[in-house]
Amino acid sequence: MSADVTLEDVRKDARAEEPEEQIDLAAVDKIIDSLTEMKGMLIPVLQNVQNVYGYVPEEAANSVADGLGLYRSQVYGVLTFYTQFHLSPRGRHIIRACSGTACHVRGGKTVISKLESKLGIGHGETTDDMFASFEKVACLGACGLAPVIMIDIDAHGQLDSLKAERILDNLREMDRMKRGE
Amino acid sequence: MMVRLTIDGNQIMVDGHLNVLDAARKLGIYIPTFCHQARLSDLGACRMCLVEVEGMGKLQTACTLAVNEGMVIYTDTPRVQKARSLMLEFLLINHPLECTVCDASGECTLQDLAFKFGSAETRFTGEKRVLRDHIISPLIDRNLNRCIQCKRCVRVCDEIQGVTALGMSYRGAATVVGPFMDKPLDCEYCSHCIWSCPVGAITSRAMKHKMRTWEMEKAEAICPYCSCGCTLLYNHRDNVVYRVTHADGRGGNMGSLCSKGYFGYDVINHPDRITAPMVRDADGTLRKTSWENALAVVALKMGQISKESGGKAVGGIASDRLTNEELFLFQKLMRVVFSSNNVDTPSGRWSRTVVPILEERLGVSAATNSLDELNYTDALLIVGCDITVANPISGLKIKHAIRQGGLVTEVNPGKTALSRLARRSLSVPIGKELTLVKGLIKVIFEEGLYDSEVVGGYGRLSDLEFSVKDKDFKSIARDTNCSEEDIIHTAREFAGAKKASIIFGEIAALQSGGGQIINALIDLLMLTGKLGQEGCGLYPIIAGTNFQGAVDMGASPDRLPGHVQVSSASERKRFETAFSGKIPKEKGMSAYEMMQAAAGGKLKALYLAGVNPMVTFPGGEDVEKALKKMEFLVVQELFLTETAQLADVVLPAGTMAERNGTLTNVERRVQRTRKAIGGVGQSMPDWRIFSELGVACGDEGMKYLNSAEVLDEIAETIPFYSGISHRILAENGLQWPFSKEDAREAYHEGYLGSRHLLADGVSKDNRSFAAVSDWKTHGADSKYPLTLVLGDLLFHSGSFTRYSESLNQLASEATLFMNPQTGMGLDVQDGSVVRAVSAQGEISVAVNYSEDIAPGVLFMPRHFENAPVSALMVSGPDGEAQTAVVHVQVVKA
Repeated sequence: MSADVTLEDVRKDARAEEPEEQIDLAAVDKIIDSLTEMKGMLIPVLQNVQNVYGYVPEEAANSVADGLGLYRSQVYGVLTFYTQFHLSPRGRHIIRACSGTACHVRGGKTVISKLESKLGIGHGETTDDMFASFEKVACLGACGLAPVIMIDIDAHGQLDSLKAERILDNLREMDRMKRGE
Repeated sequence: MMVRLTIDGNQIMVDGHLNVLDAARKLGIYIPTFCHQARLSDLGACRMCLVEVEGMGKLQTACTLAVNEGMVIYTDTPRVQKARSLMLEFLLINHPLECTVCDASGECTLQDLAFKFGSAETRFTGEKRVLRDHIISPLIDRNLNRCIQCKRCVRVCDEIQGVTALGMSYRGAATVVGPFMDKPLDCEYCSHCIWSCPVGAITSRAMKHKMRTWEMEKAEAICPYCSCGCTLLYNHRDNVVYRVTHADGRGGNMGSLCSKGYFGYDVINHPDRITAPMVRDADGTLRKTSWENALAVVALKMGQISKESGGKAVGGIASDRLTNEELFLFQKLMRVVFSSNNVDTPSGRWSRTVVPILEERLGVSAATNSLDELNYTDALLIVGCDITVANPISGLKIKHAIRQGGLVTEVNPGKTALSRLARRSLSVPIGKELTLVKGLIKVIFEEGLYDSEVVGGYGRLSDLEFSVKDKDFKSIARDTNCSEEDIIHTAREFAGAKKASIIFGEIAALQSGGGQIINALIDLLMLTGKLGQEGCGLYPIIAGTNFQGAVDMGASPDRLPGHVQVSSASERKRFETAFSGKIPKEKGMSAYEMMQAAAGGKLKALYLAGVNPMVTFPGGEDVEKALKKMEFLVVQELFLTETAQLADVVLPAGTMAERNGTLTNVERRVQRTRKAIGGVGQSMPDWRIFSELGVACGDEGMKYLNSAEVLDEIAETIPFYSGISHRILAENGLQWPFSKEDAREAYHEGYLGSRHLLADGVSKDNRSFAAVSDWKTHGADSKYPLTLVLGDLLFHSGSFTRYSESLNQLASEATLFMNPQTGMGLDVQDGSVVRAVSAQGEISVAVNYSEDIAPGVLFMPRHFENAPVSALMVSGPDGEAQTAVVHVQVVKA
């Protein structure tokens, strides 16, 4: 066999993609201990883990699998199946823009492209400074306010690209003040 | 319950547990499938097996539809045909049509079904979904775009292999198959996923773009790498083996293979193979020569030494990878032509320790039951054996039993791949296994878990009871590092189970004093009545491929073919008549004794067939000195190994793919292996070399046209092989013993031989307990306080697979595995180089921290030249070298 790729190469490629941060897993162990009494607790455990870290780090997913007696690939299947789980760190603010029918016909598309160009990221991505993550969602259930976006837990309706820009500027200002910059 | 149903107008009565797909296949009605695979759960994912059922509106998936009384089913109506065609059209929307470069082309189910049922045109003009992909392993290639999400690889990885390295992630149209976090594949490389993929989504990188599937022929052979004796298919063309494929449903393995069987074939056409005989010149270099010349030199020199110094000065050691025919001829050659009983295999230590005990206690030196019975065991005790490494496919059978609710208790100095699944995994320190087994016997006595009417008549019952009296459970638990509950529950489960068996391996048997453990285990089986029935028995597991065959064929210094003693005058007479030659009456030397005799100058000529003492024999430098001292050394090999480089004559032998013959696996199953390719260069199969050498020595009795003729001679001289022939073994293997009549029946009726032995229980003479009085076997001393286990890795077999580049990708270097706790006690770090020192010698090796090893125990693989573990193997109190468990101290380098 001509060994064009070695196991070492494959592992090295995988390592290159990883952040080198060390993560304290004490919280994960505590969550597992408090929730393993019942069978079928994988999703609540993962939700709690995500509440602590803001996402589900790989090491935490490992610990969850080992702690619940599941295979890692099974945990990964659940993590990727549900959009509520995130495998990489997310921004301090989550911006969700509606791309449902009502918002679309009332100009949601321009709102979305404004937000994307202003943030410099696309769907499912996070800005480099961890300021915000951006997501397009199917419907926010507020069609009367179309076009609508949500920033964290607040809804902002009846937008156009100008209003969206202003909201984003305000958000950044607030973020700066909060971080004392 | 049987139910009656009608499929396409044919009535059939079937078992009510079946599904419609099985029922239709029983009738010979073909229903296409992607996601269905024998031995896997059914899912109904691919929608190819849709059938029309009267009274049910929608089409139903045949694979998940249970049969029902009076069901009327149509499998080929226009509605069904249209559904199939539409399903295929859907699949082909995204499936890339790159059959021109796809390795699965020619054996791709999607290709076949699209050809048969699909539409010639596609109505979709959009772009195909293209997923970003990357290489997940050097040996297993994944192509996400070709995947049709049938989930067969995921299920096989979970349900058969029990590894669950693969999973489905994301959902809907974005669903992909892959390992955790899409990381590099970290698994056993068992190849089941490659086998199960119906398209080219998971393929072997080892043969990527090497040869089209339809251009190769297949030969059914037996895997050369362990004593499971798995059936596999060598795919070959133009004298080159390009790959191995799974022989679906064939052999005891039902087609399953492990990493060695599937990827280890690249030794066959390795560029370093020896292609011509070589003889050492007057100036000391090995030079290529003709077969006539090489054989003449061997015949002359060996004959001369045998004549001048007597047969005792000549010896031969053959690998237990050789076929039965080859081992039979080898011992015949040594005994009759060179007048020497110095015949052995490298597994001699097992022959000297385990074989006599089994013969004495059970009357037969082999596993009492078949491996298939492990599939349905209720309680299994595994002592000193990582079965998933020694015998990976037997390991799968145990995993199957666990899924059926079988209670497995493992007694090993650490964790194995079974630990996660087993009922309990007891980390008993080496040397204390005996304490545990006696603890189990104690429970049986105290709770009266034996049938006193049966066992009451056995000899030494009171001695056995007395032998377990002088220790209480508390101290047994403390000594064995287990809890009292563990011991009590293990004993209760074992005694209470309908089908209960014991497996033991090298760590138990080959530690010094290991014989006592085996005796105690047999006592436990006899006491609880777990011998002589289906599902109840003893499995001694040694990894040597044809070790059982070597014992049967008399490749042993003290036994002739058929397990009979050399010292028996009548048996010797019988073989002398059959072989028309003289057989010396004193027993010969074991492999280890031969090396010592060589060092002392008493052994002058040595014939080595497929063995590499320089790497694998105990003694390290002593072995080299002994071999160099040899007046005449013949090495019959595939490669110019460390040992072959010292030889006076090197004879090029053939691999498993280059010969016909039979092998006997660990469950006494005699199976046929078939030649796939002719010899590489001028190499010849071992049996032909032995035969031609015999003829060159002037013995016409050594002349054979083919290996079938040798098997005929085996069938005539070994009673429990009588009636066997290549023709009779054509379809199935046969488990000995069988008579001529049985064998004939095999040919006609699919008879499989003796599935289990001792049908009438242990014979009258053997109904007695050993009642071992010691509580522990020989342990470590203060100078060498650590116990080092020398064993195999899953990815290698002896020193032979070092020539497989594929397997070297998975493991190519020895490290010293130790628990971090042990490491910290010794003040050595993970990765640091240390010296391991035994009473015999020392080697330096890097430390590898592993939580899987019990504290106080070390493990080192014995395959690799970077740490030649043979240097550590001490001569034990019984005069044999310790090849599996040695005591060492670890010093910082």
